[in-house]
Amino acid sequence: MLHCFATQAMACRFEIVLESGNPVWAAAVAEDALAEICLWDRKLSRYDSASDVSRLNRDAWQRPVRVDGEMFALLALCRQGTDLTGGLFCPLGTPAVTLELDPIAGTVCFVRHADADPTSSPWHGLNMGAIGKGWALERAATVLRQHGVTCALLHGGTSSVVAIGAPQPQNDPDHAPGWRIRIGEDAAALAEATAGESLVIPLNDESLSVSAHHGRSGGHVIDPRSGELIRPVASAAGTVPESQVQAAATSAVVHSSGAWSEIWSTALLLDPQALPSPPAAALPPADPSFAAVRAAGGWRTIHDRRVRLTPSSATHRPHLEGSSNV
Amino acid sequence: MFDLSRREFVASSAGALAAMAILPDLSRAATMLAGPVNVALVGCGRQGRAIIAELAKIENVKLLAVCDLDQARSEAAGKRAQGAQSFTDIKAMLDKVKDIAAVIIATPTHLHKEPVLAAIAAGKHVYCEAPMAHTVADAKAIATAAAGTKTIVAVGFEGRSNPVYKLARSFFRSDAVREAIAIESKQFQKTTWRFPGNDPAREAAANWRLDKAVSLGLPGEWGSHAFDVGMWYTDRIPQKVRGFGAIRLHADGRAIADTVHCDLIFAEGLRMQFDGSLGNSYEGRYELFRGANAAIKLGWTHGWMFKEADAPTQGWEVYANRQQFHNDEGITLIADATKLASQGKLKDGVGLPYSSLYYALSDFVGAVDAGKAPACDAAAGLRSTVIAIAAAQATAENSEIAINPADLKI
Repeated sequence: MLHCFATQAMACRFEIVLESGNPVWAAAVAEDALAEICLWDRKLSRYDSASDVSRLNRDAWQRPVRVDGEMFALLALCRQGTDLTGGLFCPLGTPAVTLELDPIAGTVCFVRHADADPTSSPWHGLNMGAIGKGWALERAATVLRQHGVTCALLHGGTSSVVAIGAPQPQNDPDHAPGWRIRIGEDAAALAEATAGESLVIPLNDESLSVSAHHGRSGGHVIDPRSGELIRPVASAAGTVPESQVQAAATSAVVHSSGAWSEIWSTALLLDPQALPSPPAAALPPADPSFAAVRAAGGWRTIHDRRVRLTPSSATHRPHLEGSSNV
Repeated sequence: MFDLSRREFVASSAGALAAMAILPDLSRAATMLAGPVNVALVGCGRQGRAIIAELAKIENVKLLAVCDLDQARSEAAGKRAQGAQSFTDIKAMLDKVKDIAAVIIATPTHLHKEPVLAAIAAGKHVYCEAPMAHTVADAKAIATAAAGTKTIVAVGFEGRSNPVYKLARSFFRSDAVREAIAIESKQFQKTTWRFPGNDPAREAAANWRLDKAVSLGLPGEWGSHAFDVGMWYTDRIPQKVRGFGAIRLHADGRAIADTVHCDLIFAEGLRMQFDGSLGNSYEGRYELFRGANAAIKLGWTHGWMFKEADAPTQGWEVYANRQQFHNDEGITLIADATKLASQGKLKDGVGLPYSSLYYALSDFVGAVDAGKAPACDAAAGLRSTVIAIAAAQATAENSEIAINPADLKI
């Protein structure tokens, strides 16, 4: 039997769906995992003056700031992500500032490059938005696994998803086992989507991150390398020359790690060629198993180490299939 | 040069200075210790994890060792604490790690006594999470041991070290609020309070808060912190406690109420109400002090004052930061207001820069470092714990219990 639990954190709704014959046990397990998400919400919020991120944004300019081991690990991952994506993923929002980490002292500080032009690279502070969701979901999934959960789906705001195991297959030879996630612009568009316009991704012990420009004309995503507004393909099509089109409208990345799937989906949204070629050239733990971008002509797979991807024309199984509305 | 608006300039030069004149020692800043303080942690559950995270923020504090009866939890905490040695036995830890100066006890409430007494016997300073114990006998044993040692014994009633609460208390005790009319406190969170366990023994141990034999329930685990704030603000101890409890949502075989109401009855008709529930989250957690001139609302990292129309104007509040609450406008209580205003950052002062737990731990290690009394010593901790125990009993029995003055004395 499937049970659903939810909490509000990081300005969105987090949900956990898990399979269990014991509703009391399921509630206790899910609550422990949701508490983990709330804990990271309190650490990463820019709107809570007592959060770690607020403290860093206040003090890390002036001196190295001590953080706990878990926060340090997340910041180290951010630094690695920034390096591997050539600055496309950058929670600092500008190449003019570097996150300096001292693993011996467990401290963090922000260093502004001496030659940086402060007018062209405005600093808005550390922002752990997307990676925070992926990280928190990953930690929550670890809590569920520690309690013996073997089949569950977790998501934050539908754009960040982590799957544990897979639901029982339903004698359908066309579908590999997995939690089947359909990606589209919004619920209405999903309902009318034709093959190629939406993407169905089965997840089995994996994470999915979907990044998008949220449909604003002209786009609202800023390239942290240049500080310039990025024009997504879909919104720009027909209004600007093809040569000025810089980014994808939507990107989707599957990875064993929730945090890494966020890093790559952010990078690919800004630059569909961001993935190192061949991807295995990247550090193995950072290598995604699947990546796709949606441009004017529909979805385009740019990297696939999986064999389970299926088109959207597949049979709909509503009780097992979630949707990612970005 | 600071960029001050006229409003902030006036606040810094007149109003906030006036406030600071009556409010010394209300720093919201990080603690700076003179020398390193080596600490150990006993109890590595959820609260222990929060303590590890807060200790990491205090300069010059080193967490040398962690201890939990559950080996997996102890080892996980050791990793989180970046290299702390992990133990499953407190005596082994105290024998082996000689440099420990202070021990923080974050075991379940009914398991505080043994590690606290062991640490005191070993000559260590002790921070004991609140409430101190689940029985008057255990609480008195801890307080008696604390009275007989030269080391510092602090109890984790966090309100007493919280800068917003200290600031608000100085208002409460001044003419700004005047006669206390009534005190209310609420704590609501939709949660089962149940922890999963992979085997019956572990599950039973993890769910001590749902065990009628050892748990003080909502009045003890949540209400005790509010009771302590009420008693600290008024410098009074209730004469009687009334309680009512019911299981309104989680009918899963538990015997502990998930929704409670307690009345602490002081002399001269003053009452403090506590409402707590595990069935609904609205309004979260706060304390409200109603006075003849103003009401003060406290939300752990935030505080507000709501003035009556006929209350005397004190000057500074004209320039204070304000927030709207439905039909009322609250003056935001900001610790370090003078300093922040002089830097043009008065609005940045809304909300504390650290958690309430951080300030409690900082106060403790600061007391160890400076050899001074902690914000909440064992004698104060005993009084609030005894009231919480009475409130838990009254709630379990739906009855009224008179406080025995002998229970409050060491």
